[in-house]
Amino acid sequence: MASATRAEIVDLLHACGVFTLQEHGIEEAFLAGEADFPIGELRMDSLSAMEFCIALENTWGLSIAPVDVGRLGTLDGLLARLAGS
Amino acid sequence: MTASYLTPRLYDRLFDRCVTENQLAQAQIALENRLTPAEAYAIADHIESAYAEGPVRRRITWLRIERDRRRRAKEPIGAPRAAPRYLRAVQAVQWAQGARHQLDLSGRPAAPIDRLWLRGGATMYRSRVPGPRTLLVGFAGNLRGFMMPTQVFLQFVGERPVDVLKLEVPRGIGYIRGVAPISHDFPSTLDWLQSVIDDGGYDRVVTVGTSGGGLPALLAGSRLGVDAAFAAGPAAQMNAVEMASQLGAATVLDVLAATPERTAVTIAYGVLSLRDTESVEYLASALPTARIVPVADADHACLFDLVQRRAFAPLVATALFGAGTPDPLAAPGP
Repeated sequence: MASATRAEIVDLLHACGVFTLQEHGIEEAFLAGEADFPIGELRMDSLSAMEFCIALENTWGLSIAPVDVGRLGTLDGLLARLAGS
Repeated sequence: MTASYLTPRLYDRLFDRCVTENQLAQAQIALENRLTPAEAYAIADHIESAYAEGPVRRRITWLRIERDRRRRAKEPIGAPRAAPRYLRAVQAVQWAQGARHQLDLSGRPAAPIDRLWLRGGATMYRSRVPGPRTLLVGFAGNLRGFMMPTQVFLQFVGERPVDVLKLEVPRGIGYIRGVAPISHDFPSTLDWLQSVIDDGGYDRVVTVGTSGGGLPALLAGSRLGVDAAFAAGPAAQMNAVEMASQLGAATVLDVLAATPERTAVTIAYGVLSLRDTESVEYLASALPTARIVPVADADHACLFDLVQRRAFAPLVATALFGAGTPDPLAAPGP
């Protein structure tokens, strides 16, 4: 379940044009649950952040404005929220 | 020519259906993937007159709007909450102002281009400018079509005698399964494109692709022997093995290396994207005469940066329409 959600998050980031995990060489480690990354450092532009938030709301019912994406903390933190949503 | 259904009235209906700010943003992005420049200007005019008046009539000041937004930002992150209508109205007005600003960056009035037909993932736009026509086949990527709203892209190409055939595929799948309902894989897409080219009697044919559409644009350009092929931020790895296999080649580099000499190839990328930099290095190894355009201080969505820097029009002129102007961009190459 957790690894499936990790894969969905990675796919979502790719769909939003965000490949920062790949560029840092930690995408596989994140998928395996062995690495975490601050969402605020993913280098999302405003439009990517908007697409990311729309998907979070549509798929997981988690509502957040694009300007507040950094408040989500890290990707692991986001996964914890999604598990609870 | 089909009558436009993307009207201010449609926007009103979409607006009324959206409850949260993210829902409205999604509806606006969906519109941006379809609109022509004239439709976008008409909707922007309508929003700026009809939606800006509500808060003013009710004496809702920017101070209150900012206060309410700050308050909402402090609320715990959780289930979607309905946004007050006036906040969504403000969001609509800001979107309209942004859409107008992006179109105005071209420095020209609305390009005379209409949507001709729509078949699933393929939409044909046709400019009303007479003359020997160019067919521009656009392979849209995952992210907002051509790295910018469709109406903005059309604004930069639509003042020429051009047909723009925009192709889209479901997010994350790419072009290996074709463009539904027209084709079922990449070769059948190429066959269909060849029939469009043959039937249209075009003077020139060019392919354009961004992000996940970049590699398909280059491959289609090679196989169809077009006049120009342009890719921005191409994802060199996305479905590359399957693409090559479908085309009967060992690798995509083999297909690219067979690109006819007459096809002018241009690849642009944002230098801040390591992934795109590596992709371009890889693809350029098979395209020694390709013009590589590194875009300084830009990430993956580099074309939108060029629009904002007013450097997109010269790139369109040189890369797609064969104008011999000097390169307006400068940044160290990969």
